[in-house]
Amino acid sequence: MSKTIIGKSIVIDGEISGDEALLVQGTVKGKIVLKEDLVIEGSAQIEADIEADTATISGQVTGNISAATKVDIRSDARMIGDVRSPRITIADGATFKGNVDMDV
Amino acid sequence: MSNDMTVVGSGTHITGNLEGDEDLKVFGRVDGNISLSKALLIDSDGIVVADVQASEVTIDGCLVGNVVASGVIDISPSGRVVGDLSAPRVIVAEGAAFRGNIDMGDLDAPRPAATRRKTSASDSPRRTVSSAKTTAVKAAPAKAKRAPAKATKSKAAGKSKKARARAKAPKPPTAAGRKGKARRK
Repeated sequence: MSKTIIGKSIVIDGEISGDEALLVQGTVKGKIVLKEDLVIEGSAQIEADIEADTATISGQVTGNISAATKVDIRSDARMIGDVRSPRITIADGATFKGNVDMDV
Repeated sequence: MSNDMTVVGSGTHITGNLEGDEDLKVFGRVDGNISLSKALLIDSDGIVVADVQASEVTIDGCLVGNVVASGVIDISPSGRVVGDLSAPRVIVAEGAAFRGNIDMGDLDAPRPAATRRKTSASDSPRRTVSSAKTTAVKAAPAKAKRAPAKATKSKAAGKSKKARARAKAPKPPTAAGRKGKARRK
């Protein structure tokens, strides 16, 4: 399965859109619009609004997330922003500040 | 490879500025600006509409934009490029399409040796001062008195003060003299 990987030392200032899975280990400022799964790893720093099918978050995220299926906020995640998704998981140890709306 | 490589997959479109210290492979589309300290590879399906700065750029797909590389820019047979290229080494393969300006910098400076020899015709990349020096050092122990004399002449023609001073000093081709030269490198 083809996948887009944004490495650790990469800084993207702009928009990422696509119809395949995305793995972010670096820095993204702007907007992410995906039709597939998004994985944000521990080394990532995201300042972006995100739309995806599913979102798995470790690392630092500042921005709103809107997922069609589910959002999984892991224990090493630090998130500030609103989440709109029919399903959500917030692990023990995660830092989260924002609104949760599961009525999608 | 020890570091991760960044891959822009075939269904992904990135708009904006992209910079980093990793290799980047583009199978999808990037619009904007790319600035890397390592290599950029644009795959045959990849489309890049951006000004690019990288150490090395290999283009198998489409690129519209200017490219500045510190190493080599290689346009392969499936490559299509519109834009200006600026690099010390540029390769345009048979079948590639290119429109733009090419600037290789100072043409009088010593040229970097070609590492990819695709053609049979040898254009003798050894005609630089530095290689003349090394071949002279290797030849001196084996060959006759003429070899050191030739080396000193080319060194004198070169720009370094040391070389000119050495050329002035009388140099008997004794075993001791040759050994000294090899040590001095």
